[in-house]
Amino acid sequence: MRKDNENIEEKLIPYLEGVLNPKERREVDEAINSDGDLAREMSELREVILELRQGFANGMKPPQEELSVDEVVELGANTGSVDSMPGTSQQKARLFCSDDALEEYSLLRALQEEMARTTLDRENVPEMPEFLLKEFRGLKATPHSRKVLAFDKNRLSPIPLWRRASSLLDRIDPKPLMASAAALMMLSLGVHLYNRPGGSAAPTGDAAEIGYNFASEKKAPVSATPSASSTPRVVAGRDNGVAVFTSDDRGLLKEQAEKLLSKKLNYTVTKDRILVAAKDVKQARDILWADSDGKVVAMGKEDAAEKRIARPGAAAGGASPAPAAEEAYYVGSSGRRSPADAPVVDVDDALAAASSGAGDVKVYSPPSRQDAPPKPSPPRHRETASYQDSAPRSSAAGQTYRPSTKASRDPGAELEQGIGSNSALKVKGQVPTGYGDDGASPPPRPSAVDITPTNETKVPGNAGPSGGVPEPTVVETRSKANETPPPMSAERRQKLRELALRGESEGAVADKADKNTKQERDEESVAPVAAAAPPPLPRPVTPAQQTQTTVTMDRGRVAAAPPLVPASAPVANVITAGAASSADAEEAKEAKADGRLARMETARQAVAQRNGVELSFESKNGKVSVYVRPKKTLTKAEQDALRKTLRKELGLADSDTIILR
Amino acid sequence: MNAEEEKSLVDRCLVGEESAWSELYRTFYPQIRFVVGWKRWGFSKNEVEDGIQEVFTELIRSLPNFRCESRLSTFVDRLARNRCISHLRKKSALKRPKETFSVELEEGKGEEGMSRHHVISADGSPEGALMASEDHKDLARALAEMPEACRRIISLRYYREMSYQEICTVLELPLGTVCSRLKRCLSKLKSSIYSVGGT
Repeated sequence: MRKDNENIEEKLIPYLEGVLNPKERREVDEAINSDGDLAREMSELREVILELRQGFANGMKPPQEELSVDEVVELGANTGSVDSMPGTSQQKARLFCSDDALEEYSLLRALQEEMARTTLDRENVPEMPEFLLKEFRGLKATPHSRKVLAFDKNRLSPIPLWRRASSLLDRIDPKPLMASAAALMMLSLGVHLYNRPGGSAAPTGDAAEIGYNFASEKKAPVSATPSASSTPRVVAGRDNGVAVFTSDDRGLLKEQAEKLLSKKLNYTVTKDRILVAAKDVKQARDILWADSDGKVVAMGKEDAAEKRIARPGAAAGGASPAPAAEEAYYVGSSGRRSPADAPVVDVDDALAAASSGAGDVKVYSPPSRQDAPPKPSPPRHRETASYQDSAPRSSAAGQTYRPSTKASRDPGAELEQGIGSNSALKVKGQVPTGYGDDGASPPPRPSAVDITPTNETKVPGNAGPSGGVPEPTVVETRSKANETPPPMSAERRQKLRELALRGESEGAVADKADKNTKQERDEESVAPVAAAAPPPLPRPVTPAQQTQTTVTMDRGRVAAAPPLVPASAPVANVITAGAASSADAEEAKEAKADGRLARMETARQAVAQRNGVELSFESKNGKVSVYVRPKKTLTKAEQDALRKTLRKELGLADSDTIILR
Repeated sequence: MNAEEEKSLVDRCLVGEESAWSELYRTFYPQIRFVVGWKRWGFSKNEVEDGIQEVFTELIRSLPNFRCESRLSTFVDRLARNRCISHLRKKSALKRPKETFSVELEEGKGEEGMSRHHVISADGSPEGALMASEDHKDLARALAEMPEACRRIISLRYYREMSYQEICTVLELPLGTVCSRLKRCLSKLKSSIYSVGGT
């Protein structure tokens, strides 16, 4: 039953279009007669098809598909029928659903045919133009051709080995590789300098080993922060040597380093600390902190970068030299610093001294710096004590350090600047003679050891009007979908279709069709069937009136009408013989139907009242359709009984139908 | 020139023989000239000359990528056709009407100061055409909203007016599938039209 329904469904549209053979047409007729819903659906489909045909005939176009040039050219390379057309079914469908693409395809087919007929003129060939020679020489200059040759299996043999090898090298562009390697090396060096594992031994104590000689690892690396105690705390850290001064303020570091420099001490300045050999710690501390005032400043535990606790240097440790006369201030620990390598704080002594009243305790705000504005201090894990000269930011000799992008060198001193933010700025070497040994401020020097990094960073891609971001260009573009080219006429469409489908083996199709339909034709006489056939849907009259094609729905077999013939070919219609007699019979039938209809109209009211229904009639092609609308819902048995009653009371013929609604 | 000769010529060209390039030019100029200069393209003389140069330039650039898997003449032919279709599309895009347009009325050139307006309609009255276009607007919209497969099969059958067998060939589907799909698509279109019309 289900299969029957599917079969009927397949045949509905061909039935409406009048292309079914008589046998199948009768099957559909029967199905429609027995099923009112099916009849209603058919009538709706008929309207849709009519509307579609009228719309297309009036210039309406379906949405156009797009095909790339390559696809069209590929499809256009077809020399045979649609069957042999290269490409996928999708491509083919898109081709036939696009007017432009189909026109291009037709042109390509025509070109193909013309080329096959034409003998090319090989006599009048001009000289190769100069620009092509230039192109050729340009190609020769590049190793591209050799690359391809070397890697083409088919042509490996004639190429010498050296050429293949050179083409291999040609393929490798060394620049990015070298740049990557260099960047990697620099990065690893920076990481190594910044995050040196604590377990790796590093020399300390020897001035010659401080700073750079990481290779000779004899002792564990140590570092220390400035401490008020007599012995500097030594902890494992990333830097070699003993830290005698710690600060994030580079200007301050620089100033302090200059003091050591003036005393001919070897030291290393990293980004946040000054390191010296262990044996020089005491001397360095003396230089950095010694002052007659003897104030030592340390921080409390609160995270208050601005809070300063000063205390007498004497109380900080008996053996420790007096702290600097200048007020110290804490700049704050670096956010990058890990707890392990954070400076060790030794404020206990200072606090103890302060609480015992041995020194002054004061809180102050650090002076504002023009060259290094104070930044918010991150939370500290440990208290850090740092010292600096008092503001203004100048050396004791009054030399003001300004931010600079260049690192200057003192005579005899070597300044090396690392890469990136993680690098340390290191100074080592002997201080030139001529500076005082008394700890006084050094004389002004021709150039400063500038460790202030430049902030002048150019942001790429943010160029002004002269470069960088180009001005937006307004380009007039139009979407093809929005364009409304003039509609293709029906004649044109038909012509294109013929051109596109030319080359189909018409003979083969016709033979196949003939074979399929022969049996049908033998079985039935054409004329009576044609007379009984429902009228095909009216088509808008266009010059490209399509051939009527009769299709046998026996699963893929085509009956009659070779489908791929030009529309100008004779119409192959089933209705070929007995057309005149068929017309006469149809007229007689219509007359009879009209008579029946008149009788039914007369009896309608009475019959309707008697059966409790509403009735309407329609006569078409010699058949009368009775539409019945019952006033109550009927069961199947009641419906059948009603049909019988109505058929009897209204005097319906066998061909008439009753449609219950 | 047979396939072997073509292969040898390509090798010589790629190795850098200048004479080989001249030979290549001499060999394929007539073919390219024929394709690009085909009258039905409608190209002017200058366009043809430019086209030949472009095809040769493209040939020189793409010859290193030519793998000798097909005939060189086929490759050249494909290049020439590609260029022609591209140029054709460019030209037709230029010819298409733009969004904005202006209307110029030649006032005062008719008789006795009358404006001269010509209304020419091949489809009968303009009102009729307008009515028809309004009638089909819903249909066109509903068709545009249909799934791709439905749109295609409806287009092939009712716009391209192909037979069922042709549709089977193009879509590579059996006849029964084509017919049942067409029926389903038309039912969908019907309900779509009603919904579009209702809204």
